[in-house]
Amino acid sequence: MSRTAAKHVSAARVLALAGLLFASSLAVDVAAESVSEDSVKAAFIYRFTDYVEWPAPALQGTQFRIAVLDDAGLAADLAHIVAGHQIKGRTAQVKVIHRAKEAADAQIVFLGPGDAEAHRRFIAGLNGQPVLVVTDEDQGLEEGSTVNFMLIDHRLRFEISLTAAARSGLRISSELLSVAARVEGRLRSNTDCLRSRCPMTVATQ
Amino acid sequence: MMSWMRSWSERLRRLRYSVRGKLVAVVVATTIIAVLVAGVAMLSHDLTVYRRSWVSDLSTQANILALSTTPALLFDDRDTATRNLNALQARPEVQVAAIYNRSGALYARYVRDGANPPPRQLSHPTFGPRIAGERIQLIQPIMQKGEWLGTISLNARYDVQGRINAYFGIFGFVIVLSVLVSLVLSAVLQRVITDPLDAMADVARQVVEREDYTPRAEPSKDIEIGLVVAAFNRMLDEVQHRTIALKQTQEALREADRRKDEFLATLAHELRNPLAPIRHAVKLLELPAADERQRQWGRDVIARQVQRMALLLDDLLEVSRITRGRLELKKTQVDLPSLIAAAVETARPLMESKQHRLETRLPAEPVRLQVDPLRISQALSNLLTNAAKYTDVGGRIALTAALDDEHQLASSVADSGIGLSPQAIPRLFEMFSQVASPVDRAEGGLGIGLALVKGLVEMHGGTVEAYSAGLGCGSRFTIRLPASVVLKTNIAATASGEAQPVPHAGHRSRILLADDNRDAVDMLALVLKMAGYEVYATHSGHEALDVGARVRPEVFILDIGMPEISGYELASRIRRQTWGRDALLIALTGWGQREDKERSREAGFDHHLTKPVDPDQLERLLRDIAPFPTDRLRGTDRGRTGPSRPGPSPL
Repeated sequence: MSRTAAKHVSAARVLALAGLLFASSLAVDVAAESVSEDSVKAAFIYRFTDYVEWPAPALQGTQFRIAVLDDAGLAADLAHIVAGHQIKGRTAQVKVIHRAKEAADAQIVFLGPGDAEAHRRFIAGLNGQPVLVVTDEDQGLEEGSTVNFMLIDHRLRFEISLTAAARSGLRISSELLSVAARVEGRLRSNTDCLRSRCPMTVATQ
Repeated sequence: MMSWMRSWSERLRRLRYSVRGKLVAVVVATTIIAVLVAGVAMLSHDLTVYRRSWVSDLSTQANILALSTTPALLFDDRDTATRNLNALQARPEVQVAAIYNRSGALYARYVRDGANPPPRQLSHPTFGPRIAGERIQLIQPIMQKGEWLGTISLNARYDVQGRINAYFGIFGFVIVLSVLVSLVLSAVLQRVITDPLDAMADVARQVVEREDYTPRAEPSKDIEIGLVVAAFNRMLDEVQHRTIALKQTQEALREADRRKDEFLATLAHELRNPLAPIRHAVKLLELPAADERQRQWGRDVIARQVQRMALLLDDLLEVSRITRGRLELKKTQVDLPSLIAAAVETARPLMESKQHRLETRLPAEPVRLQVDPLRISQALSNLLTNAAKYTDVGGRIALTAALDDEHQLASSVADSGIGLSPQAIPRLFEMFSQVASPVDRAEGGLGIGLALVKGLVEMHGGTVEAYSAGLGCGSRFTIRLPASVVLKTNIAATASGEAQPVPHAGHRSRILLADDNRDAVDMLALVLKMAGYEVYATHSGHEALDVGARVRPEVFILDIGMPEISGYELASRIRRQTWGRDALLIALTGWGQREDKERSREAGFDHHLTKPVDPDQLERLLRDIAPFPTDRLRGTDRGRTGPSRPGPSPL
C-alpha cells in the first residue's frame, strides 16, 4: 500500500470512518473534508495502546512516547489526537525521529513507507526491546514489525505478527487480533482463536 | 334413540336433584376453580418472569455483542461486526440485530430468514427494552471508556401468546385429569354420605309402595347421619305402631258399627213385634160381637205388649245412660235377701211360664250392702231373666249368694240351659251382642241385658263373669261385689222391714190437670176419676190458674209445653199463690233429660214424669208421695214384672 493508493479511498468511507472514530469524545474538531489517511492511521495507533500490554519495565517513565520515523505529517496528526489524553496513565508524547537510536525509549514506533531494508535494520536495531513497531508496507511483517497497515477494499486494515510481539515482550489483546485482517504466528488451537472465532481463517483467505 | 335420550335426560335430572349430583358438582366446580386460580397465578407469574428474564437475557446478549463489537467499531471492521452478529443464529428468537455507528447509520446487521431488515438509519433511539405485541426491541449504546461508539439494536420474538396457549393447553389437561381424579375420589368418599341416605330412601320407598312398616335403615357410625338414621327408624317405629293401632281401632269401629246395624235391625223387629197383637186386640175390641171374655183377653194382650215395649225402651234408655255416664247411683243400706227377693219377683213370671225350678241359696248370716238396691236387683233379675230365656221348659235355675274369705259378695245365677260356646263368652257382655236363639226367637231381645248387668255392677266397683262348660251344658253368671260395699253388721240391726216403705199418711183428693192436648188431659182425667180422685181438667195456663184459685187442689199435674204460659211458668206462678205454696206439683213432659228435670225443679215442681205416663205409676205416686228410694223398691215389691223400669224420678 502506498500513500497514493490511500488517496483512492473514497471520500464517503473516510467521512464515515472519521465520524465514527473522532467526532465528539476525542474533542478534536476534525472537519469532515480534512480527514486524511494519515489521521486514520494516527487514530488506529492511538487505539492500539488499549489492546497492547507492555512489560512493566518499559513503562517506568512518566511519559508514553510514540516515535514517528520521518513522517512529520502523521506525527502531527497523532500529536493532535493524543493531546490531553493519557496513555497507560502516562502523558502521551509524539516525536519525529530519523534514526533507530532515537527510538530506544519509545513505546511505539511508526515506520512510514520507505526502504524495506532500512526498516529491517531499524527493527533489528531495536533488538527485542519492548517497542510496538507499526509499519505501513506491503511486506511490513517480514521486516519484523508487529503491526502492519494495509488497505483492503479501499479500507484501512492491519495485520499483526504475534512472533514479533513475543520477541518484543508485548502482549496483544485477542480483541485486537479479532479485528486484525491477518494474524501471523498464531496456533490454531489457541484459546484466543476460539474466543475470537479464528480470524486466522479470515487472514488466510 | 328417543328413549336413549330420555334416559339420559332423566339421569341428568336425577344427578341434578340428588345429593350425589350436588356433591359431584361441588367437587368438580371446586377442582376447576382451584386449577384455574392456580393456573392464572402461575401464568401471570410466569409471564412476569419470562419478560424479566427475556429482557435481561437480551440485554446480556446486547452487552456481549457490544463488547465484542467494540474493536470492530474502533478499527472499522465491518466484517467482524457482521460476524459477531451472525453468532445470533444460535438464538432463533432473535430476528434482527443491527449495529449503528455514531452517526446513526446502519453499520452491521443480522437478519433472520423471513424477517424484515432493520432501518438504515437510527435517529433519536430510545434505549432500553420496548415491547410491542409479539416483538421485543432492545436498543443499547456501545461505549468504550466513556466514548460513544455506536448503538446496538436487537429485535426478538416476545412469544407471550405462545406461552399463554401452551399454558392453557396444560390447564386443560390438568383440569381434565384432576376432574377425573376428583370424580373418582368423590365417588369413593361420598359413599359415606350417600349410601346411608340411599338406604333410607330405599326403605322409605319400600314403606310407601308396599305399606310395609317393618324394614329399617341400617344404623350408621357417622354422628350426624347416624342421628338421622336413628330418628328415621324411630319415626318408622312410631308410624308402624300407630298404623297398627289405627287398624285395630278401625276394625273395632267397623265391628261396633256392624253390631249397631244388627242392633237397629233387631230393635226395629223387637219394636214391631208387639204391634201385631195390639192391632189384633184393638180390632177385636172394636167388634160389637165380642163378648166380655174376649174383650178382657184383648185388654190383657194390649197391656202385656205395651208393657213389653216399655221394658225394651227402658232397657235401651238405661244402657245409653250408662254408656254416657249419665246414670247416678243412689246408694243406701239394704239387706241382701230383699235385693234377691226383688230380683226373683221380677223374673218370676217368665220362669213360671216356662215351669223352671228355682233354687235359692243365701248365706246364713245377715248381709247388708251399701249399694243402689234398684240397680243391683235389676242386675240380678236380668241374669235370672236371661237364664230363664235360654233354658228350656222345666229346666233348673240356681241363685246363690255367698261371702268369700275376703268379704266379697259373690252371687251366681246358674242354669241348665243351652250354654255358651267358648268363643261367645268374651263378647257376651258387649253391647248389642246376643247369643242367637232360634229356638226361642220370641223371647229374643236386643242383647242389652248383659251389657246392662256389666255396666251396673262395674259402677259398684264389682265384676261380672260368665262360665259355661260348653254348648248344651248350661251356664253360670257370677256377680262379685267388692268388700267395700259389704257392711259389717250385727244381728240386732237387721230387723226386717226397714226397706219396706211407710205409706204416706196424707191423701190428696183434689187434682188439677193442665194440658193443651185435650185428648191427653181428658183421658188422664178419666183414669184418675176412676181411681177415685176429684179431678179438674184445664187446657191452658190461665184456665189452670183460675180453676186452681177456686178449688185449691192439693195436686197439680202440668204439661210443660203449653202455649202462652209454659208449664215452668205456670208452676212458679202457682208456687207464688197461697193456695199453691204447699201443693204437690208434678211435671208431665216428653223430655226426660237431666237438664229438663233440673229446670222443673227450679220452676217449683216436686216430681217430673215422662210421657207417656203410666197410669199405675201416677196412681202410686199420688198415693204415697214417699221419698226415694222406698217408693222405687216398692215397685218391685208390688209384683212389677219389669226388671229395669225406672220409677218416677223424684227431684
